[in-house]
Amino acid sequence: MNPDPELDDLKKAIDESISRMATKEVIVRPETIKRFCAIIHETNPVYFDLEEARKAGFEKIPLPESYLLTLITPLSHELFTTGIGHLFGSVIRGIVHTSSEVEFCGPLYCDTPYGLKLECSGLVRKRGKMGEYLVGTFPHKVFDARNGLIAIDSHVFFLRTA
Amino acid sequence: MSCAMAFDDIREQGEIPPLEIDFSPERNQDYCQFVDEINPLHFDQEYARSLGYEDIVVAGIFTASLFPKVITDWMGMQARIEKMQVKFESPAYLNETVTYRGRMTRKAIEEGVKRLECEVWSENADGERLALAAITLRFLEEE
Repeated sequence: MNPDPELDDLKKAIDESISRMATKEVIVRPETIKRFCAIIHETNPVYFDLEEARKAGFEKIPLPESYLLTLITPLSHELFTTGIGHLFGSVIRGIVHTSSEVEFCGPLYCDTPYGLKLECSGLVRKRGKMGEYLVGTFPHKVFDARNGLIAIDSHVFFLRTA
Repeated sequence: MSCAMAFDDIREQGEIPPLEIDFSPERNQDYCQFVDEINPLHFDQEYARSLGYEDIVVAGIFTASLFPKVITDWMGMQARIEKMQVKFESPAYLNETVTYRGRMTRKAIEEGVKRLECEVWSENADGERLALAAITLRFLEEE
């Protein structure tokens, strides 16, 4: 394998940043879900009305499955700002989200505490039609209060190099 | 809103009703504010062009959020998403109207669990495919 100090340095910086990031505690309130649903034109009463939610078999008002990608966003925002934000311009020129793999282990609910944790499971160099970039895979995990895994969303980002 | 369906009545290769959404500047701004967007690709036209894009690119997490909605609009609460794999193929640009289409590709009963597999994709007004999602659903027992 050819040595790639730029790649190795960036992976080290990402790993160090992630190791400094504490598990982020979140509780999603119904007002937040109302705002999100307004943006995506979601009108299903299950997401607004406890009685409707119970009729549909939920113990509380569920979060729309659509909301998972938004829920976990603060993790990558933190990585790309306070984490490795200092590398923008000198090492990284831009970030493009290219794929996501989502898995639900159960429903997510409003007014319920969750822990969010970010990992980096790989960083490789690739070349494509838009030039050279690094491809990073970032599992974002959602845990319940008993530390049980509730959902995972692995984002793949292209990091365009400067 | 969907109506109740019986598992046996769901047809393999059957179409899922399409969903159309206009990624207007107002809607994009609402979402960017909602998530405190940090990536200028999603709100700064000059920056987007410096990376080789035609215009502001609507965030993948935003466009992908509509895939589960296509499913819940169709199935209601009769099914829960277990897995979803989304691959972004071309950017969705600001001001584009994007149509989400899909079809049910497989249904099976595995160890007593009823599952559906669907393929859902988004396309722009020119019919260009922007993203493709493979979604696995767990069908809940009818009452």
